[in-house]
Amino acid sequence: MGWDISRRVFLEGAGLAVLGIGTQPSSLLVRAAEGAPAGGKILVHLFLRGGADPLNMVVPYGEHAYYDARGDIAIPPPGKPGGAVALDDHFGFHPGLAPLKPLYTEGRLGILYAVGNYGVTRSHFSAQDFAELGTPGVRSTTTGTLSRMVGQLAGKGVTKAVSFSSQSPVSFQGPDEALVALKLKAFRLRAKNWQAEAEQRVKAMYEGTPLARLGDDLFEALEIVQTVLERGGEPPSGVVYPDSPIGNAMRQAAQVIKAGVGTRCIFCGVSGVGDYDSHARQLEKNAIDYADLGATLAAFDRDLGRKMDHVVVLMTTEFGRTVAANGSMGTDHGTGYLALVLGGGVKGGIHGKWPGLAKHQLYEERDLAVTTDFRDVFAEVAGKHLGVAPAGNLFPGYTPGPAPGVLA
Amino acid sequence: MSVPVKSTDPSAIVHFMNRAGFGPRPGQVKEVVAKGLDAYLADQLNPTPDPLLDKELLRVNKHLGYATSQIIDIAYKRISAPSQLGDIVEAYHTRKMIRAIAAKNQLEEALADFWYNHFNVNSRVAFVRLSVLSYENTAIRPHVLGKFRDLLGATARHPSMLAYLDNYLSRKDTVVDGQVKPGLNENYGRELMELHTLGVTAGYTQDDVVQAARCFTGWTIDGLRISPEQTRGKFVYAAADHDTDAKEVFGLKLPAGGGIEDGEKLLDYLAAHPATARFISTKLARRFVSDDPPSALVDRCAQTFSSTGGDIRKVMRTLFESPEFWSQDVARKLKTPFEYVVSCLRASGADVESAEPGLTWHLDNMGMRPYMCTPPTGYSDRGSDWVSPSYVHRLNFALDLGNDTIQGVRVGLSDTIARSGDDPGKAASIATFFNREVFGGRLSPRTLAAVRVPSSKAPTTVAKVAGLVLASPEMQWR
Repeated sequence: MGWDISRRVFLEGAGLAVLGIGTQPSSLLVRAAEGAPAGGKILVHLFLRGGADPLNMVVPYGEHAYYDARGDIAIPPPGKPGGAVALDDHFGFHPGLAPLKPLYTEGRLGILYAVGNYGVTRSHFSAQDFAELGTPGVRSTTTGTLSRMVGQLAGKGVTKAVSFSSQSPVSFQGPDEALVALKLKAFRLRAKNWQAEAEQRVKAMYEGTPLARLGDDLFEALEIVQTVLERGGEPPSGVVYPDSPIGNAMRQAAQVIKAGVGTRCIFCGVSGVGDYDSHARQLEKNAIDYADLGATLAAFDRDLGRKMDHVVVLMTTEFGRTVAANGSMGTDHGTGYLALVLGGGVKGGIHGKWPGLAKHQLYEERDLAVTTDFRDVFAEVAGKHLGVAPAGNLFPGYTPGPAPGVLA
Repeated sequence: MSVPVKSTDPSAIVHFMNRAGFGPRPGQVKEVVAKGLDAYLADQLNPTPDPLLDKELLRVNKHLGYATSQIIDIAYKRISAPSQLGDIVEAYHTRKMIRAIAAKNQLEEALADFWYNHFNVNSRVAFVRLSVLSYENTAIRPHVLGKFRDLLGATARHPSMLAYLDNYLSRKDTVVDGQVKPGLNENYGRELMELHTLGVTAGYTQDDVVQAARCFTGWTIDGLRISPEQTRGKFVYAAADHDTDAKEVFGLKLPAGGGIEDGEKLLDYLAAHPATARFISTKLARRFVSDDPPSALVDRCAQTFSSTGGDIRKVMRTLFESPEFWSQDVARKLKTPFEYVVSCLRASGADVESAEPGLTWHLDNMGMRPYMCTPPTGYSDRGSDWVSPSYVHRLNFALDLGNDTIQGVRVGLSDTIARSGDDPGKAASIATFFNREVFGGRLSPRTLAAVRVPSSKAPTTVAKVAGLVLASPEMQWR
């Protein structure tokens, strides 16, 4: 990978005084408007870093094998203290996900079990890269899946693709710019009493240097963040997001969507407060993280209201975890995971082929098997929701199989 | 040793100081010109005592003399000590900044940062928070220029690592009532091979990970499995928990009946493996030369690593003797946030009273809070991964530092500039000062023109010029 900082605009931490907005309409707002066809559909990819355990998230309480394998770290069946929230006679939510039950009942939340790919590896860092590149086993891919997806959509502008993360995600690696931010409100240049002068002189220093584009984009971005904060507003009263990485990312994602600045894709790559990577004391960690996840998604849905009709939230992780508990009241890195799909056009219910938990049904006799390639899910969402042509160029070297059926 | 540059050339001296350390402090380039770059470099490879630094550290050392067991007692309020846990944590954060800023042995500090990051532990984990002081003091710092195997062995046995990667919980699988009760935890076995030694592309398999983890069953921390309040924070080998069956890890065969030596033999094997020589050499060359170091350079370093039994000092020497290290053509590299912050503090001659709250807050904004990197990879050492997300915060840090408004930091630039014979009231003179003392005369005409901004009211001329110089593109490059 070469040195290229020109294609992204970054706003980690950022709320700002108005910069450089003169009497003419700013070029950036014009570009944002160009990029905002009415009713443009939006994909929010929520990526749980660390390898979130599927079996304690949507509990297969109808299977003895689950309780045999998980022992003390199994979630009890519905009706027992701390028990799962039944979805049907086989599966139930971790109690932390209870706020999502109404969405499930209304048919707006889909659960796709046993997603992944056997080429992804059990290393977090390789698996995350492969998941984001969409090319399991191939590191040399120069673009991320979301970047390839967004590149096929009409419109342009710095807010067409937005990431709430501390670093530029591999998902947006590619030729087009993306806005990368952690805290929109903290995004400002701190030069009290000489704001305009400082801005102008910083620009002058960077002009003509290898960092010039970064400088230009930075100041343009300052401007559009201001617009997002003004137009996007706060959540309506009664809608409270957890103050956590996932809660803050999704709250700001809703702000960007409400601001209507031409956004088509938002990436939220987050780690769990409890730690999705639950090698030890998993019950405590799940209790924190799955309550966080449930409260966040429920708040997001209420925050956006009818706007959710234009939005699909797709939640994935890099791999699942071992079916059996390890020796530390936890689970180690596994393979098959589950995806949640929420929003407009989603087909509610539990999808995918359940591979079973008997020893011979497991991948390498230890992990939940994979019955849906993760790229098929992205392809379905890209095609049906965003309208990306189902041509073979979304995933280099891979032609997606039949749609898993998470969207109507 | 000799280097392929002119030993008294200020720009070569600045080049070396930026790459091998955290950049020059005012007055320092002149000292190295007088001494000669060869001699300075030899000093860096062979650190000697640093009484001036020791004096600087007096203000934090009163909180840093505790053993882990005492820190545990303090944390659980079982003893009354002059220091609270918060004082201790603040002191080791501050010490890291003071050392990086004030140490004459800059290479040693750069390597302490490098190796801690390589063998990352995250002090957000409660037990790590209590033991990380000992981890840095005993497992990392004594070995930064020593033998890789010693460093590897010290981290493998240190309770911070055992806790952070969960190995303290790992024991052999047992059979209870005819049922296999799993005991193994794979976390350390995996990261040991992927991140500490071989690298992820070495070709080992999931089975190798399991076999490696089996070697370390029983490597634990006294009492911690029972409860955090039970431990004295010591490494213990629990023989009863060790898996004594035969093992085979990535080509290493270990016969049945082994004990603690299973783990030690595996560490020997991994430390001496050619994949490790290459992986470590790549990481060192990435840190000290460029994001994607030339493979010929990595080859030479790996050869030194292998032929010297993993002698880090000798690998560093190979690096410094290489034309690639000195080349202006090898792609320039952006500083990480920590390097940027420390180099700005050095460039401005600042004094750090405490890293809290100011510096920690700034580094947190930039995404690089010391001692608190969550994934075991450590923070990225690629400049290209850092430049953009942190950018606004770099500019703001520079402006705050120029303005002397960072809590815990004293800048006093006007005095420093005046002592060098320049005029802290005149924009052009301040710019000249920085160009000479920090950049070896290499500030571009564009930057020099942009930073010359006189001021008649707050912020002062010196605050504005210094803020802009520190925010300049030239200050971002390593």
